[in-house]
Amino acid sequence: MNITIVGLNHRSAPIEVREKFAFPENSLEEALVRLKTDAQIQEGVILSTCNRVEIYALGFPGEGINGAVTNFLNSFHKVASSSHEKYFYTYNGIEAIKHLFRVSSSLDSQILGETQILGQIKEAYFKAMQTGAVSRVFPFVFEQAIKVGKRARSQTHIGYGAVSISTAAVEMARKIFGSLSEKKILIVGAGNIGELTAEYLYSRGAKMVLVANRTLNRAQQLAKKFKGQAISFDEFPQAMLKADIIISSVNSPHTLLSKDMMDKIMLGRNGRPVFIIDLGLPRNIAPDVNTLDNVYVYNLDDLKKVKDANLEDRLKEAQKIESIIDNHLKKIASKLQGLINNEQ
Amino acid sequence: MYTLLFLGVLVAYLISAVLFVAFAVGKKSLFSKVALFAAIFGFLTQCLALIVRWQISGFPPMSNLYESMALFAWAIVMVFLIIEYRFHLSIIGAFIMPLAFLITGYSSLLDETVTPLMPALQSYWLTIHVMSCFFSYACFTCAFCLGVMYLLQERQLKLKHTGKLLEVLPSLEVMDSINYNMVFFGFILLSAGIITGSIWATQAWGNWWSWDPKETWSFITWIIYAAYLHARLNSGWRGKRAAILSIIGFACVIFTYLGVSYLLPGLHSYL
Repeated sequence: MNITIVGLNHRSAPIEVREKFAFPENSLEEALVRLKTDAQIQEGVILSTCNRVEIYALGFPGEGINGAVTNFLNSFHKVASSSHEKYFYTYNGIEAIKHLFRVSSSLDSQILGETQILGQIKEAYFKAMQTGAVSRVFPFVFEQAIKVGKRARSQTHIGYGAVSISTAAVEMARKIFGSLSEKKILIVGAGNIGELTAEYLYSRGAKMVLVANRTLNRAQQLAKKFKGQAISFDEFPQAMLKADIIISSVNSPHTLLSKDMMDKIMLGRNGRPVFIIDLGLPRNIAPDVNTLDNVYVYNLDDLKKVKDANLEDRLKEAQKIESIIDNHLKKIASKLQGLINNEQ
Repeated sequence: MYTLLFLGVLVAYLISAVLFVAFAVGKKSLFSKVALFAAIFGFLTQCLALIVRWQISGFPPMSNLYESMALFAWAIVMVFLIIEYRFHLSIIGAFIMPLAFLITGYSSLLDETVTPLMPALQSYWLTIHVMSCFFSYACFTCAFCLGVMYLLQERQLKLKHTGKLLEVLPSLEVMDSINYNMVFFGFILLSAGIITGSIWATQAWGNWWSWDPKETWSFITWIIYAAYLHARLNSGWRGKRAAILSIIGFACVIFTYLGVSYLLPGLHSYL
């Protein structure tokens, strides 16, 4: 008996290919049943997320089982066999289990340290259990994977620090203001990252969203979403008197805010600190605005620096997880071997 | 007995200071927990030490420079523990506890013999006046630490540094508001100290204000913190400017306390 994985992920295959092989939620049960009907396959689990499709199978070693799983993938999705072989990877035996542990602890994720994958593995495993696709070996293996995933998160800082532009902006806002509740947001120019950033801030308690946009319709749409208020674009300097966090993403060839303008605004604010997130490219805010007291301007490059630094920290934490995984593999090796031998 | 307690305090504050700094550098929460425990242990031991000394001499331990230093450290740790209880920001300990240790350590170099209380100090006003002053000093010391922390963090944010310091220091707004609270309470206590002092002076010296160097410098300190509060409430001087003012104010406190004692002898020269 041997454990094998055949799969593709965000590294091995482009999104068009991953889409082709994905298992939508409602087809999963049927797929598991069909997978199990193959005489060579004793147990099986299907993990299908937006970044990966992986079939975990227990069967006889060698070409036989890998081929059977690949055939299943092709025939279930009605894809001509061998046309997509180059996108697949396979892992066997202890390497397969190591891969599963790396997946469950998010080391194989597109965003290192993301938290969704552990839940997705749990779901995939429960689904296989419900359909009777697993019996003795995989329950043990998957429970160990879930254990390792939890341990990776609790014993290291793999999930710490913002690793996207918008969460990095939120992180900096918290370094300035501490609690974001009751802080007022002003959105100048409606862009996607800006909207996402506002969403994060809003979910952390920030209030009174004012939206200034060149097309009023879009401003109103955004204002409605955040229970805020749309204002005309030219009003944004006055709105800056009230706001604590300003998200600017205007498509404009020249800067919208100069140091002199901001200096006057700060007088009207009675010195209350302000955080300006400049997502414009070219920049919306003159660089020297940042030199004013109590004014903190972060542009795309600055936020990228924050994000990259956090990612680097996560890479260091990933090293610790690799050794957690190796230790755990050693610990369970004999028990696993016993379980597999019993199957024969 | 007293010497032993004093040694206990010194060691506890040293351990606390070292561990708080280690926490700031290494971010291990165990360090900050043990450090806090050491600070509490040191504080309680110091309470005991003060009581023991009071028993030995028969008057409150605040009659000379040595005793006042111990009192200063004790008040600082007490104010720190209150801040810690209220805000749970252990990182502040990395700035305050080393100061508390240095002050305690410095006092051990001074003459610690118990001398009979000078006739001029034999009054219940001694306790009220000195306590007010030293708790105000303690508040100003904490405000100073928060001012320094604020300036450090402000620099990290302005220069877009992403290092450990940024991570470990609290948010600007929190530090600014604790700084303000400390200056506010310190100012009230200093005012109380000056008022009780002049009432006592009227009784003891027959003159409520004599422009003695200590009085003059207390007044200058008072003016600086009054300016801080005025600028803050009326002209929006918060953040960086407030932090700088609280650092300048602290320099005056130290001069009023130590500089005047060593350099400008006057009516208060027993302290």
